[in-house]
Amino acid sequence: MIDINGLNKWFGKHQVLHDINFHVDENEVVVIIGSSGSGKSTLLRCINFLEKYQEGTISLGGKTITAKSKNLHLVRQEVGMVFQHFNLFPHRTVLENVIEGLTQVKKVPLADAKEQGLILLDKVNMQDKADTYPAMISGGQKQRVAIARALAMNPKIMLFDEPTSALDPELVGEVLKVMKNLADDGMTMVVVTHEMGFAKEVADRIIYMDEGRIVEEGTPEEIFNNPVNDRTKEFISQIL
Amino acid sequence: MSIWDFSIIPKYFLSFLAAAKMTVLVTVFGILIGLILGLVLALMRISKYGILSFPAKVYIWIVRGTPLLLQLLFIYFGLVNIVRLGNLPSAFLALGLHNAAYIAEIFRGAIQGIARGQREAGLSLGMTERKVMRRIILPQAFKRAVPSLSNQLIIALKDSSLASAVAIPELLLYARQVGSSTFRLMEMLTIAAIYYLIMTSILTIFANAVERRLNVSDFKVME
Repeated sequence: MIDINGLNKWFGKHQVLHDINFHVDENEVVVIIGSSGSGKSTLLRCINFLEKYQEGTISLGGKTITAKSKNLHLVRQEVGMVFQHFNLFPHRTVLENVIEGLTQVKKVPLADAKEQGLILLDKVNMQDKADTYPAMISGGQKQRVAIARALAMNPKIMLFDEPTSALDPELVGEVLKVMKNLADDGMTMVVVTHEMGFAKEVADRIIYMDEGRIVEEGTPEEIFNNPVNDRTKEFISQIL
Repeated sequence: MSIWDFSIIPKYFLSFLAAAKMTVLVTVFGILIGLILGLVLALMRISKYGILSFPAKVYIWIVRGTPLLLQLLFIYFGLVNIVRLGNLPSAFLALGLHNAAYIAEIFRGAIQGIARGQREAGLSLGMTERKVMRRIILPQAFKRAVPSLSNQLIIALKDSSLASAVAIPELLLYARQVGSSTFRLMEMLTIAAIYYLIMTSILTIFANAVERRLNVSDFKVME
């Protein structure tokens, strides 16, 4: 589903991603962990080209995209993204947020879009807030709406960039639950998170990154219980 | 005859109406041209392509760096050889071109003040840059620009008095004319001042109402 080969990225002279190679299979849930500044968010943002990279290729569902490809908006239509700070559109209601992609990008008629939007809001348990504005709901609710908005495009892959890091602790659970349901439904997901409980329970595979490199990858069992690399061992011992 | 005789004000007050209409006309056209051209200039100014941003920068630099009165005289007397503009079109154009530079900077600030994540959220839904600008960024930027725009509108209303320099019978010129024919300049200027105050007050009330109306979605402060 996703194939990344030889990805290198620099911010100015500073190299932030070093020769990244990894793939994600259909229906697979891959969790990327690592300390701040390890390049995990940057890598995730490269997958839907919110970050430019200088070298390497990324293939999504068989289509190969290089750093110089055009028409990135067509590729992004198939990749859902959930952000740390939600990024809901404050000038639109909850329902309008969810159907924005449907009506504006997919050109679905308004009535159909609303119907689909309400079904999606029901899926994230937010149907009763359909007509309120984002400023009036909690962080956890915002993130659930943001997930519904991304799902509305019927993406092949969902990317989550630290989806619970900006939430009050008591609101984390409701968002993780929605994500777990998605995983159970067979959604292909790449998740950058510090929620190790979620990683253990939901991930098929875990990637540990440090200083812009993939240091180790494996099943949750392998990474958490029997890490091979010394840096992975140190990281795991610090967080558990 | 005292210097200041308020008792004659009621007698002349209504005769200023036509001049007030002229003031409104010049202001409205000036602001309309300014809004349209200002938006175009703002979008050019923030473009990553130098061929667009550079001319906009130069335009704003020149227009903001020279007086409106000079610009007005330049257009009225200077363009004669190319195209003969009447005094009214000259005033519309001068006020419009002048306001465009300021409004461009207002729009630019408002657009750049919208969080980067908004653009990214739009892009991640598969929107083109153009659609993101039109659907996501501009609606929020317009809202943010309203206080500055209403301020600019009030400035434009008062600046329209400079049109008197090219013999447009707006409030100030009319007040001076009636003032010199009646030898009651102070009273006539007072009447003009009252008209200006009434009009700027109406604009302020209107602008506040628009702001309130637009703030519906900001019930709570966004992070």
